[in-house]
Amino acid sequence: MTVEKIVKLSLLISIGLVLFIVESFIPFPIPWMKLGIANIVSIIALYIYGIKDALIVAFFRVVIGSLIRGILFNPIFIVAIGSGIIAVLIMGFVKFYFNRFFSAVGVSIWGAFAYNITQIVIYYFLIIKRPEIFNLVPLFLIITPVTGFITGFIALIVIEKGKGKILF
Amino acid sequence: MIYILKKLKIADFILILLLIMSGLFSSFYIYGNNNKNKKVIVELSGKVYGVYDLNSDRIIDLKGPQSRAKINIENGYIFVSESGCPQKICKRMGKKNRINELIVCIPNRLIIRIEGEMKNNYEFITR
Repeated sequence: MTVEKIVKLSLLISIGLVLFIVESFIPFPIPWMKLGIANIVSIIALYIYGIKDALIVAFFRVVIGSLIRGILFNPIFIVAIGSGIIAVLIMGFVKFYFNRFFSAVGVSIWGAFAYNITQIVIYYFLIIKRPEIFNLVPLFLIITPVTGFITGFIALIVIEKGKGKILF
Repeated sequence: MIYILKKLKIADFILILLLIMSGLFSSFYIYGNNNKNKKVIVELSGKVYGVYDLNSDRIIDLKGPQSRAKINIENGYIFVSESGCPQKICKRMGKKNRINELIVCIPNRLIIRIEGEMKNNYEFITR
């Protein structure tokens, strides 16, 4: 990995951290609901550098973000990092095999979907251990296209407008 | 902005539609009129008068200390349709079908409550 690449990835991670912190200030009516705008940087990294670098960005964003918010190594952190990595893997899979069909928005919705489902599964096995938690799945099915569309569209704007610019 | 919108592909919209549709259908299935295991308990003067199923329609006619009262179970809802008490608060409490909901008539010393296993009793919610 060249120095240039390290600097670029660090830049993406720090942008993601700022978004992550800003996002935690946005109030939402439903407590588990989040826009997931920090995921924008993972999508950008996935589209510009590939899945390996997207995984690096997602991993360090979650670890450092949890450190800042004071939730490092507690159960919420395990949920966040597990579902974050699964989401990037699914997005990479969709982008690699179905790039013809899905734009960044579709990839982002797949990522949001994977994130939410993994989150519920990890919550089920680690924390809540009651099958009633799967009653939340319909709610997430309705929410994910909305949040996934917003984050994916912002990522698409950055990818399209940023072509040939210094970061890329 | 417009040219970025054109970058979206058909499958994106199909995916959005599919997710929202499946979400709506499954939420109808899960959150919909789910009266399984719900029992209606009618108490009169502190004693259990009867336990009924919320799914089968019936009319319960009973005589309280003040007057007669008529309780209807209809389409998964329970309500007091007739009561001789002066203020008719029990009648105005409307139709109930959720667990732990109550209809109370003080003059007739009547308590109608719905019992069952709670589906969403969260230990905690965090973010």
